[in-house]
This record gives sequence, C-alpha cells and structure tokens, in this order.
Amino acid sequence: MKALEFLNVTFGYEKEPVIENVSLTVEKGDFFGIVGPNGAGKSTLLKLAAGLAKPWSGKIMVFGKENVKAGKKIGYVPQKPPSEKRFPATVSEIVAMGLKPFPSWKGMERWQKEKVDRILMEVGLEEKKDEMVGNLSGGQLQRVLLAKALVGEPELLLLDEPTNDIDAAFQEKFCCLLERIHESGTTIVLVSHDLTFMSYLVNKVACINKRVYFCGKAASLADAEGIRGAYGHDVKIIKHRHPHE
Amino acid sequence: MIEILEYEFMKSAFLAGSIVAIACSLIGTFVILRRMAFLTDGIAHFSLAGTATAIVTRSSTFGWALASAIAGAFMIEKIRKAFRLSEDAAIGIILPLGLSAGILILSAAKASSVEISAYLFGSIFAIAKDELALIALFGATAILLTAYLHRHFLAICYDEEGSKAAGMNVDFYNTAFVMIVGMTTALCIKVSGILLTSSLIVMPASAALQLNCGFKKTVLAACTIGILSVWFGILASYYIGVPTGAATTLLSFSMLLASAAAKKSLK
Repeated sequence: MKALEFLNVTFGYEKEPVIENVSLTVEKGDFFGIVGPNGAGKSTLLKLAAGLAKPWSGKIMVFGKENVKAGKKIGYVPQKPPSEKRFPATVSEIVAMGLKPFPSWKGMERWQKEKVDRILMEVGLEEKKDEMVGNLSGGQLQRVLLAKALVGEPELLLLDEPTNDIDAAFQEKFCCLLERIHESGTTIVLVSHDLTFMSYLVNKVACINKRVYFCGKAASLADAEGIRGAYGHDVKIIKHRHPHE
Repeated sequence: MIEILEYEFMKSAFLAGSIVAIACSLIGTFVILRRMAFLTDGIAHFSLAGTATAIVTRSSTFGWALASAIAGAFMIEKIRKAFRLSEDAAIGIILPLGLSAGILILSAAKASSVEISAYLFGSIFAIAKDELALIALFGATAILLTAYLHRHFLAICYDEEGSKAAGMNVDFYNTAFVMIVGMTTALCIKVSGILLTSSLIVMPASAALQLNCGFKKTVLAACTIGILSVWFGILASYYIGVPTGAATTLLSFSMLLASAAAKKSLK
C-alpha cells in the first residue's frame, strides 16, 4: 500500500518554482529519506506532504486520500523547534498537544496522562515531564517534538532535519529511537542534508534538487549517478553499518 | 475604602474593571506568546473610526467599537495576505487608517474634545448601567471562550505547523482568536481608552510570563496583576485625582519590573 504519493507536483513560494514535476512514492512501512543540497526543496516537499502548503499543480496522496484529509494519520516534526524560552508549559503538557482526540478544556483524562507518560519514557524524557519546556536543551526539545508527534499514533511520520540540534553523542541514540519507531510499523519520511546519517538509517532514499535525481535503495545511493547531478559535484558518503541490509 | 463602594459609579468601575482585566489578561497571554502585541494596538486605534461614528450618530459606542475592532483585526489579515506584507507592516497601515478616519469623522461632526478624550484615555467612572451589562456579557463571553479554547490556542502558539499537520482546524481557531482579541480590545476602550489598551492586554501577561511557571499559574498571575492594576488605577484616580488609565499602566509596569526582579533573585 502506498503511504505517500507525489504525482507531478510543482510548487513555489514566489513566481519561481521550488520543486517541479516531482513524482515520488513511499510505500507503507518504508523508512524513506529525502536528501539534497541546501535550497533543493526538501523541507518544502515535507511541508507539502503535511498539508501545510498547497501545490501549484499535481496531487499529493496519503494512504490513498488527498493529504489535507489525512491529518489524523500524519505526525510532523518541524525543522526548527519553537524557541520561546518562557513558554508556560511543562514537557508533558507539550506532548499532550499531540493527543488524538485532543484533551478537553478541563484537562487530560487518565488514559491520556498514561499515554503521555509512556511516550516520554520511550524517548527517554520521563524524568523531565514536569520540567518547563523552555529549560530544555536543543536535543531534549527535539525529542519532545518527536514525542508530541508520536503520541497521536501517526501512521506516517514526517521528520524535517531532526538531528540539527542534537550533538554527535546523542545522534546514535536518536537513530536507535527512530529505528524502534519504524519497527513498530510507522512509515517514516526523513529529510536531512546529512548523507552519512541518512545512509545509516533509511532503506529508501530520494535525492532531489528542484526535481528528483535519484530514487531507490539507500544502499545504492553512494554509487548513484543522480546524486552528482543533484549536488553539481562529486559527493563522498562515509558508509556505516546499515541496519536494513 | 469601603465607603467608596457606596457610590454606584464606583461599584460599576470596580466590576467593569475587574471583568475587563480578567478577559485581557487571559487573551493577553496568548497575544504575547504569538508575538502579536502590536496587533492589539492596531485594532484599538482602528476602532476609533467606529467609536467616532457612534459619537456622531448617537448610537451604541460599544457596539460600534466592537464591530470596528473585529473588522480591523480581519483587515490586518487581509492586507497582509493581499499585499504579501509582514504582520507589523499590515498593522502599520491599519492603525493610522482607522485613526485618520476617526479624526475626520469627529472633526466633520465638530465633536467636543471632552468626548473624544474620554475614548482616547478611558472613562471608567462614567459607565452607564446598559454599558455595564454589555461589558459583563461580552467580557464573560471572551473569558469563557478563551478558557474553553485555551488548549487549542496554546498548541497553535507552540507549534502552528505541527498542529495543522496533525489535522487541527488551525484557521478556525485563529479566526476565533482574532475575534476574541477584537472583543477584548473593544471592552478596554471604556476602561483604559484607545491609547492605553495594550497596557491591559500586554503588560499583566508579560509580567506573569517572567515568572516562568506552568500555564495555569501564569494566567492566574496575569489575572491577579491585571485586577490589582485596575483597582489601583481606580483608587489612585479617586483619592489623588490622577487619570485611571495612566495609573493602571504605571502599576502594571511596576509589576512587570517586580516579577522580573523576583525571578532573577530566585535563580
């Protein structure tokens, strides 16, 4: 079954298109990576998938439905975590914002509290649940956003540069966390400019720069001719153990 | 202190001031979090056009102020989208536009300067019974709506894109938010005046946010600061004859400084 499908999608913010005639298919259960140089339209592609922008032309389908009608199946983690240092909410209150159904104005029900606690444990933040969100480090904040997206039990998880604020020491733990989420049956689409990180993690990858230059198995990315076309020069990928091989 | 409550106008002032302070502090918390403080100023100034129309036509000033405040809020959004401008630029267009329209209407009708000044700086001691009823009705509506929708507002403040992607009808909640801001701004006009509206919406919430505590504690602190500021303004005005709006604003600002200092000393 197709989890996400781009059918000849063209979109731009001003007159010039950022992506042009992009067609891509992500199958259910895929761990799909989107790579490309800066300004290639990777984040735009993810925003379109999440229904945050309307394509100029073409169609985007999520589990066979138009993406704007599939919001309840989508979890989206933005590239830049909100940076308001004095945001008046605790970690568990932020995670609860991703619950479906949304908590009533009176507060969370017991099952909702338990679910939030469970997800926080999964991302390793159970001890921070009563901490004010503004007091967290960049890496912790990224995990909070991931927990917020996961607590709604999305079938399709869209992650935009999730390792941007994470230090190298935690990156491997974060990768393991993403692998666990994938193994539990969630389809993941991940955008990153970090080819090494990507080649380690995903099983399929698309290399884009306004259009699709390569789409196939992650293992063959390093040898692909298309990657040179997208970046405009040779690209060296340091290969890691590939969990899907 | 008790004897002043024997006056009808004082009772009305305290009651109206408290309702408006709570409504403003509640919605003000979200206004600050969404970095829309200038929006309330823009809406308030734009509502002079409606207030001026009410003065000239001798109709309900609150009704006209409410309609023009909500219209102003939506016009800011329309201008922003139509001309692809930033929000502050759109507010920068709407603010003088409403002010100019108001001045033109008032000068054409040769309105008295006393009447104009009452709307520019507030006239909390001149609240008529029917106006008090309207303030109570719309104030309660704004408070209840904000309380009912606060979780959605908070989620949108924190991560608008994530909320939209997860299927939340963000446009609906944004429209509701703008309407509540418009309603609250119109409520402020009688209490603090058009020029000092943002002191009731922005300052108590800003002071409470300095404390860096959870949402419930923050709004509770904001409401307390708002109510105390208005009460102080009324008392200062009664006992030492200073303008209510200005005294309210100065106390709000003192509380902002005090809460920032308190937070710093606790670190």
